[in-house]
Amino acid sequence: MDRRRLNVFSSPRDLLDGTERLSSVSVVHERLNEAIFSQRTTVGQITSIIMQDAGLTARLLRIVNSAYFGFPRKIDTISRAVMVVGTQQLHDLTLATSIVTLFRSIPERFVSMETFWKHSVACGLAARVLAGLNRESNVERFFVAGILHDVGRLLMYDKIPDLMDKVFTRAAERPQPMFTTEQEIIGYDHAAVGAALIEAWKLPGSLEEVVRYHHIPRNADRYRQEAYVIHIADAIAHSMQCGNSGEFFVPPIDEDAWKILGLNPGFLPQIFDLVDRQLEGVLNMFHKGG
Amino acid sequence: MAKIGINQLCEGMIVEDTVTDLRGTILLQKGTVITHNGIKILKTWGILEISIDEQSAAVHSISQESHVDARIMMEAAAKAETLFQHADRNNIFVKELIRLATNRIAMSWTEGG
Repeated sequence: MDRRRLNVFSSPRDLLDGTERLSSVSVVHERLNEAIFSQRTTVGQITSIIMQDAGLTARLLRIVNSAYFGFPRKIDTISRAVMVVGTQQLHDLTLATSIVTLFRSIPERFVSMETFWKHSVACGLAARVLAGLNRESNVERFFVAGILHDVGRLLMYDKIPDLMDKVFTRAAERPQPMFTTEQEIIGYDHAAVGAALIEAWKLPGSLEEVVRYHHIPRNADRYRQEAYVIHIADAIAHSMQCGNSGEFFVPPIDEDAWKILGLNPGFLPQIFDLVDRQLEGVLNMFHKGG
Repeated sequence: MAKIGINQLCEGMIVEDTVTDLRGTILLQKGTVITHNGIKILKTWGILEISIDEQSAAVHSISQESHVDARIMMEAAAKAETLFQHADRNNIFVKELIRLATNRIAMSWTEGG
């Protein structure tokens, strides 16, 4: 009852009202989505949609030429990138880079944007490796889910900073995960806010479900396996202490996650290593030249 | 690229070149992470040595034999234990994460002076 008096935003959806950032993602996403899923779309048409945005064009070229893909030859045109990387993958990466540019600043007393995205990208890279080990198709969508898993927190820092101050104060006093403290003080957590954002952006339902359940993957329905991938990728990013989105400890790990993903503890050093090798390069690509 | 004898192979190393038997049947694909089972397959087919991704071999040897000062290592282990206070520290995967986190903390303190 107490928290309802404190919080005028009684549901995650209320938090989205008046958020002008919502529309810009939908425009990029919807136009590309229409083009990709239309049978008649040519590589040239997709190329021209992307090239209308100079910043996006530059970012995508940096990504396809990075260690992330590791192509032997330089790819210097978007049309070549579309052909080599594939339209769905390029679409997913477009989405990730577009969202990163939406949130440019939050109150520094919580976390810096740099540390926030470092954690998110590390989670995305770990998720991509885990998905590859599981022979999932289109591993880029796991990268995007990792990038977005904590995006709800950015909106909370921005819209309800006073309540987030209270969350940080209580989190320092009580040995419990941050998302539990968010639920106690605000009435919902960053995973619910992230899911509401993704829904408002009209992104795929799989992303919404994975983000909503990344702390409690066993509650996911259609995309439980995907939610487990992000759950473990998040734990790996925390263990690597690559950046931070607000939580200072490794969140609780579902005891069945390892078995469900068919993991072997021997994979973990290599996952750390792969994330380390790609992290700085991917972060540079996201931030340089916005 | 490092050629490694079958007896020196460790779980977690990454195969650099696809390994085949004499007739060309693939035993382990390039990029495969070596597991206990993988080593068993190689032994069954009489493979004596294979190429291993150098970085994966190097990382493995660092984590196996990091010559970090014992006191720093203990402090790093204590910090890692705190980091994992919400996780089940008896789980073998969590134990491995704690070991890796401990090494990272110790290395960052050592490198940072």
